[in-house]
Amino acid sequence: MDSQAVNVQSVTKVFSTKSGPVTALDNVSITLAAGEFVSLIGPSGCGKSTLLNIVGGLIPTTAGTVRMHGIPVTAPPQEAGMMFQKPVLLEWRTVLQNVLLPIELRSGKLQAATHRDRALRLLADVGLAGFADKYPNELSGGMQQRAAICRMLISDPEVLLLDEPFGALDELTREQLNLQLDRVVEGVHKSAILVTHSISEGTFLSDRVIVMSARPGRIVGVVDVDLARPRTLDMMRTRDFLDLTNSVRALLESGHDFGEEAMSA
Amino acid sequence: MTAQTEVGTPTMLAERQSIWERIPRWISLLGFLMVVLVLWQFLATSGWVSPFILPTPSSVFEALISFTRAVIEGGPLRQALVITVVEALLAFVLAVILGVGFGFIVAESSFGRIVLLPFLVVINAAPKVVFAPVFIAALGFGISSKVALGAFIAFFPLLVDTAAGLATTDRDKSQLFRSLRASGMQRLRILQLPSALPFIFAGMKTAAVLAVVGVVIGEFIGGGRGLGQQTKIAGDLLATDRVYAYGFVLAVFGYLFFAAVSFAEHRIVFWQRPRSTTAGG
Repeated sequence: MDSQAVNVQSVTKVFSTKSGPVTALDNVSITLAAGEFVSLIGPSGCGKSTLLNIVGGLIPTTAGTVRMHGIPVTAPPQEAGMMFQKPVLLEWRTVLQNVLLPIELRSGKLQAATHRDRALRLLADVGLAGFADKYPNELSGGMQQRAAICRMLISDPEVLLLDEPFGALDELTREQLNLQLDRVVEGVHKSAILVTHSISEGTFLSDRVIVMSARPGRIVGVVDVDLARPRTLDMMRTRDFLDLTNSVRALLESGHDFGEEAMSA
Repeated sequence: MTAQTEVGTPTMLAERQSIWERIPRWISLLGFLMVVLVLWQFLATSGWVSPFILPTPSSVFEALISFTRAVIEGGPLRQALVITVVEALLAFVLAVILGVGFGFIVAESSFGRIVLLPFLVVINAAPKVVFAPVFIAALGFGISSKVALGAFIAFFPLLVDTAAGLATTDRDKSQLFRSLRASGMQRLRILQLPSALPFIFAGMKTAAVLAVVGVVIGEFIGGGRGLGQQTKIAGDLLATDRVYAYGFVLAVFGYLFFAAVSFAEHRIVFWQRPRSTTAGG
């Protein structure tokens, strides 16, 4: 197997709109080693979600290639697991049935039933023991997103693609989920790409933070996060962590067009 | 500053609750019914309105009692009720099968969307009663022509609601299914159909009422031995009290039919009901 989990090679994405073509991504290259956790951070419209969807095989590139473990991505790859901004649970299915959905879609209901114990263990890992037979609207937003973590992990994907999964949650819930995600990912040695708006979230979870600028989306710089693992919430109060977030912030500001923001505000 | 007004608002709303919100519902409903009946009795006995147009409530009530007795004892009136009920149920079933089926075709195939839909829209815009003679000519004066007309009238809301339900599948869920490499059939069965169920049930509730309307119109035009035909005969004889009584019976049947579909909806589409949150965090 290729030691590179993901290789994004000179990817450009141009959307055609009524007012002409819009370059969402301009010649972006990223490599993600196996087991590495990388965050994409940048202002709205920098194309970070577009990039994640391209890696997830949901939208095609205009130019450039994406490889996952050496194989070009042309459709959603089997080894990728995605999480979205919303939990996206099926309301008519119990939490357990939602978690088992990827197995059911891949190998059928019978095969899904054999993964029941694993699903229950995953639910217990994220603090949802006893909620397996509840329906999604009996759960809070944070609990729903935790169920979505389990659904992503049930098929044991090699690469996790996380599109601002905790953006809609309050700060404390978000920190708790970050911590749980760190534990879960650390335990199984997954590669991950996280799209986020939050400097502290990106820094806390990542081995590398990639900072992007908007219109067109370009990589402005990369900050290596050499904090020990597993990460703890106490680390967020250390000098090192503060220095790292300041570096990310400086890069963000260098790539941010404040004039335009002020005009639209 | 704004927090203060927000705190104050709910209490002020509570104080402004109208009289109808404060007294028990059954009292206001019963009271309103009493007022209507008294006004009705007054108008009917005043001599201002002909008894052929407005019979007294008591005579309608008597007609209702004698109808009920006839239904219990058996005979042509019971048969009439059974015929109309069976017609409406068959019309409803037929409308559901065809409406949901065509809804699928219109929503899921380019042929349905591009070729079939415009024709269906035009037919839907027509007053459907005009097709009654066609059904009678084709199917005769028995119950099948009434079932066909009832199904024809009840069919369109089901078609529209099914197609709309299948077409409005949540974008996020569609993206999830794409990322999980679901097949078209899996998407339809596991995602689109459950997503469309609330719409389909909305269509079924409309169809339940329209099926009754349709078969009664069929009987008005095509005769037969159903309750609609009995109503028409009573009207021709200027036995207006019976017309009101049969109309009331048909209304009760239509309502029960609607309520039965609503009940099934609440059982099957359970996730649409507001659930009490049993857990926090």
